[in-house]
Amino acid sequence: MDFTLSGESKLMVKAARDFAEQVIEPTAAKIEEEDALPDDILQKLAKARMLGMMIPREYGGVGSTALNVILILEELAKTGSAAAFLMAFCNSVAETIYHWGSEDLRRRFLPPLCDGSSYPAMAFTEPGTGSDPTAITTTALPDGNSYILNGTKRFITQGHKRGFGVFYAKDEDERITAFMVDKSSQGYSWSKPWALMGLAGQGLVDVFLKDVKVPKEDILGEKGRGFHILLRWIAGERVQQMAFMVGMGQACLDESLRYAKERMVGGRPMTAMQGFQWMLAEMHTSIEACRWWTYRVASKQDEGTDIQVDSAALKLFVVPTIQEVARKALQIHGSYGYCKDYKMERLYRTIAHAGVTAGSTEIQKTIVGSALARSKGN
Amino acid sequence: MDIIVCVKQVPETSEIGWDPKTGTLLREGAGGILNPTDKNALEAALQLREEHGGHITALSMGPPQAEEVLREALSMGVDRAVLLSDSLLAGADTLSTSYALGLAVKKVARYDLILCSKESSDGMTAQVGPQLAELLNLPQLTYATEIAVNHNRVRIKQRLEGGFRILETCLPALITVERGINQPRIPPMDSILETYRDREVQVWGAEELGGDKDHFGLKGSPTQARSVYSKRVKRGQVSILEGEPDEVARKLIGILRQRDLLRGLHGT
Amino acid sequence: MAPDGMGKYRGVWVSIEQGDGNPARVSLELLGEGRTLAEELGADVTAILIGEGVSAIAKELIYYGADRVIIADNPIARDYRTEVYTEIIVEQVLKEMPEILLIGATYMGRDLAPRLSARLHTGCTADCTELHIDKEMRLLVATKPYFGRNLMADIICPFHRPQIVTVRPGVMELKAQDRGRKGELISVDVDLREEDVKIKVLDTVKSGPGGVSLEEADKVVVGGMGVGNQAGFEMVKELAHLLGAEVGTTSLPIDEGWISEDYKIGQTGKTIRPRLYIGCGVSGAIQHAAGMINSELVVAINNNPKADIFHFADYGIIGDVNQILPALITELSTVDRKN
Repeated sequence: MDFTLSGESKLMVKAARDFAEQVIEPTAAKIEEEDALPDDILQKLAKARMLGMMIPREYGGVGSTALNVILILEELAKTGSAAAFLMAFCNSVAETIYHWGSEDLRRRFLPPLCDGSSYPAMAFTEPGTGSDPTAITTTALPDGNSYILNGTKRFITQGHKRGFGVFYAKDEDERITAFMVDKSSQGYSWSKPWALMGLAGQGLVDVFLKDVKVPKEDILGEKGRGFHILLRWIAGERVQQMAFMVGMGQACLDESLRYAKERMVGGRPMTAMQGFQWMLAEMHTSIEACRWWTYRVASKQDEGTDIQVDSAALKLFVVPTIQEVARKALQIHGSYGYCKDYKMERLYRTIAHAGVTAGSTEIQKTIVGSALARSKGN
Repeated sequence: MDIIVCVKQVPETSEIGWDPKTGTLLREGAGGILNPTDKNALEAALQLREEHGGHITALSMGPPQAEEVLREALSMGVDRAVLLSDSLLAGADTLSTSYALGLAVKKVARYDLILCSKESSDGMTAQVGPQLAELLNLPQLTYATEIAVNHNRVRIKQRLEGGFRILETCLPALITVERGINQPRIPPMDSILETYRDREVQVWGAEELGGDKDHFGLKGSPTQARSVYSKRVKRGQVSILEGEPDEVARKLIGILRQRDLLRGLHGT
Repeated sequence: MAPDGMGKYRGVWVSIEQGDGNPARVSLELLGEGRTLAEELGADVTAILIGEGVSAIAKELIYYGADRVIIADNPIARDYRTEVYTEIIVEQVLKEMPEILLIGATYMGRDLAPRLSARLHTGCTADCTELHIDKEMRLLVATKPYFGRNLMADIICPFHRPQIVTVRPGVMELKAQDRGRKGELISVDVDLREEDVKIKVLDTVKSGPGGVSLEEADKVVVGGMGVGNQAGFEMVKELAHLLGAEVGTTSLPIDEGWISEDYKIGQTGKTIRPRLYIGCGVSGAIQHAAGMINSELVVAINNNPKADIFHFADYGIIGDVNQILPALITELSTVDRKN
């Protein structure tokens, strides 16, 4: 097995690095202050052709791989900004629509996700449920050639920004069906964004659907099979989230190294002290392990393998590992790490999200554990 | 308007080895990046093409791995990329390099303008541009911070110590660009993919170049490194001032006052 | 014994840069250095002076070390243009066959020297920090920092003539002039027609006489990578301002975008000879050291006690630049108020 990155992947990483430095870093403070992503970030991501990476060119995409998305995301994630997530999110929603959508849905919904004219959404969670899929209460009842959707969705990323999203509702058979919903539909409204511990600009809103009309053709995939669509999307999303963690973990290490090389204790820089060297060693080792496993699962995704269990196991490992990296990094920074003037403070807050959003680590344990229990053994 | 841009792969850091026998850098195998100011030259060419149309060729001389920087040039949008690579070309000084590049330019044949960076980040001699211009008998406009082409004339703003000049000449010409001339574009992802999937970097060796082999490589270099050595600058014994920051600050200011170095203080 | 065929080349030449009726200081520095080299070679120093209305400068060139001055005084040479200077110098060089040609590494000098070397098919070595003669081989040995930390290279051009080198302003000491010196003035014709010169100079703009140039500064505060970021450089500037000093930098902060390359001090930047040099977070690697080693008093602030700069500093403070600078600024502001 060849572990070297291809020439094209290396060049993509370089371009992503330049993008992070020239486009995202300069706006990071503003995003933090206003808790909003400027609209031109999406335009610039589109111009850099970082959206629709996994979509074939005929639909406006780039025709590349999940692994390349992960590599780019890792690089952008070093900024610790929600802008990195936006890139990943556009890609994962587009890929889902591509995978399950009819030709008609593909032609209508993919180009706007690739060219920056639409912010996507993936709306499953509700006030009453996140982890329990059967407990959603949003309904979709047939009405002539359409379905009428009613319900409330919670923590919906970009639910308030122009475009459309995939919304999950229980149809007349009480089975979960996925619907393409236009956010400018009559009856579609939203709350103001939730104020989060980190990830400024992520744009998590509650979405209120009051008699929102969706044409029958706009069902994504098969009626009643929405849950499978969601599970598959979540598995890919996990891998992206872990790439984001790896990038931020690396940023924690880079910041810590810089700090420890300059900071003097007892007449020597911190890096001269064994205690700190050991901490740095542990951080580096952790990040490397997380990184390569993430790449491996992304590669499996490209092979077409079902990564439900792999991605859960990955998340189960990466989340606590990188959170520990962040903790060590905070310790190395001392009081400065607690100050808002330092990037470390923002990284620490942002890394805290991964254990609870998009599937808690406890859920991952259940996924892996029950799969093992069901398996026939090696 | 057809343009040739000369680019170079340079070591990423200064942690690169050198051959003690020849005094030349061991480039092959060491990581490399596109010389930063070459990106500015490529961007200048791309902007000129946007305005005037035409064809851009990126040209480089280096070991086989230098193909990477030509791929980068292709992904930024140049039309064609050519790598001059041959063991006979290795170890060249700037004149020998210019000779080989000159042969390649003649082989490309169609050009109105040649763009180079002012200097590469490794050697920093800033010599290849002018030497190449001379070998091709082209007027040279160096240290350009702005370029404008109008029909057959090209005008630049040339940076100088404490000021600038506006120079003009007729095409064909060679221009060397300053780093601040523009902000190089970031290659879009689909362009990068295409570069590796659909496009080719042409490789020319000594045979394809023709010319006089005696002018190639180390053999064809009038200058050579007689020796390379480590040198630490040393000068007497340092006195270390000890104490907390405010204490050492006081000590230092005291020393400066004693030596009459505080005269001309702001406000005094 | 000079290498085969090289024995018939004799003489050290200096190409003179001039402006506003005065020779450039670097040209005078090189005349002094040329004198030293010529003495070792048992040869003469020839200055080649090109321009319009510049003949009056010739005497001064002799005082600074030239034995002969070739003067090409012609309207076509009023502004420096590559083709004009190249044509004139090449014609004279081919006639007189000097063994060495020294050129100041200014913007114009670096435009001219490689062009000459290509036309004459000879070697050109840029930004040399030292020059010696290998008497046995009758060779010029040009020393310059090599790529990498603390590496130097001795460059030679054994089989081609003239051996062309460029040297940055301030690298060679400006020697005192000797107004008793005598020399030969040789006027030469310039056979070029304006219609044959392809480059036109449309405008020349000098930015205002703001501030002292680094090369002539009395005191300089330099920031290196240890400064850490742009905000840190604001402190460096603040300290310089309080001291009445100029600001300088090494190359990496320029790459990081914290400060412009106009402030670079080192082998490929400016060479300074101030009475006071304060290096903040500067490691002291040779590429930078080469540009400031002749400072009278060197003070170094660096948190790495093993940094190279402590080998040639007079006073050292081992500490975090971000703590020491504010302390110095505070102390100086207090002194200020007392005055």
